[in-house]
Amino acid sequence: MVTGKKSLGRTLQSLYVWHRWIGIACALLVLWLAVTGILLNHAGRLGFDRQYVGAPWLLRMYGIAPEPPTKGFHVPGHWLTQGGELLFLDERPVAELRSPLIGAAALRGVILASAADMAILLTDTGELIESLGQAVLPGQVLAVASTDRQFLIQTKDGVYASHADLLRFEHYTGTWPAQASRPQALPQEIGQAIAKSGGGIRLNGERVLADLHSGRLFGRYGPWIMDLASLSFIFLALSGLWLWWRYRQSQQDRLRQRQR
Amino acid sequence: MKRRLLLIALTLIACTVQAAEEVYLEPSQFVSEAFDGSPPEPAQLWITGDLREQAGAILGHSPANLRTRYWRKGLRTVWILEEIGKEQPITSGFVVQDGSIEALRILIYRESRGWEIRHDFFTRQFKDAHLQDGNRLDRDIDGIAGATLSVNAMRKLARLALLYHHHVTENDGNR
Repeated sequence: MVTGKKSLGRTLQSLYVWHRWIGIACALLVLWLAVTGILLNHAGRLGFDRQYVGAPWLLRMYGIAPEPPTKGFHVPGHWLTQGGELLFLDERPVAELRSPLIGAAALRGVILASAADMAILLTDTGELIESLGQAVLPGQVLAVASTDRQFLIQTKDGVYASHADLLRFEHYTGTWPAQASRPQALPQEIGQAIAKSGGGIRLNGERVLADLHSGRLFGRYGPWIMDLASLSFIFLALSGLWLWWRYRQSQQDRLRQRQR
Repeated sequence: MKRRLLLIALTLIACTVQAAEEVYLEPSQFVSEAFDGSPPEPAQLWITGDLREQAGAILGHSPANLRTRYWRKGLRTVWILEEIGKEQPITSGFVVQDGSIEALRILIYRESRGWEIRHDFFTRQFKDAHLQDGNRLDRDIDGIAGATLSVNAMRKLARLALLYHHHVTENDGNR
């Protein structure tokens, strides 16, 4: 009996020591998981799901290495190109463009960059005037061009003309300009600058947070370390409960012995 | 038995596929219907200065565009506005008459969830809504579980449409 009690005592002491040291070792990971977990729970309210991050060092951690774009559309004084879902005016991202860029034209300080189902109007300093969707375009865009007075938009139903404000479209019966918008070789320095800044590839903030929480951001072994931490938490919970229960039992035993 | 399992598997796979863009009503059709088939030419509203600040306060961020287009006859204006729900923009149409929302339609929905906002039980809450002090709506809009961000986007756009309507009708006078 005495031997049994001593053995139990040694076990409890050993368990307590393990509980303590594993708790200390995991403290940092507990904090990490708790903080990222709380942020994830409220990602919507905090706006993480609507924010995008594209810092080059972060993309490198994801193994994303965008290639420099090689083609673009030239308008007087500027190049329009697309990286990811972003439209670039020279090296600067200026608007979201979710469909492939098919043409660009300029008229009186206004730049028109078009995909098949949407068009972007910019000032020549890169400020976004308007994104034109299906509600206002005269049809699916095949090509764009400009004369000295009008923008021209080629669709399946013919060519439409509009002034620089692109408010109204009228059928155009003139000749399609010979120098209509075509993709050309993009200057290397612009392509390199775009690639260096992330190439237009953006990661959703909530996703980055989830990868931080799970450890996926830290390479192949990151998730395993988080798994190990989680197993440690399970050990801490169970050992903590066991230690509490044994302590409670021993307190009750002592009380009974006193009463005798 | 094998066919049933295959059918179940395909159904489950289909359920996990992210929803593509859903066009419930073409924006051009919405504009046309709002004016009984005879829409006016579009006009443009430049979002600058104080108007831009007010719009930014409503949206929680600066408006992306420098201008927005609208259609107007007298005290009736129609706006096609977009705002991101969770990750994708929601395209919605507003008809504003005499400073109150006459109609709200979800035109194009691109998210994988939250599409319940397109139904009448949600959109009719906005009927006759107008702005109070501070550019707030005159009523609470009941949310939909699981569509909080889409609902919030609609609240913002409703306020924005009313703000823009006030701006064009008060500045230009009645036409």
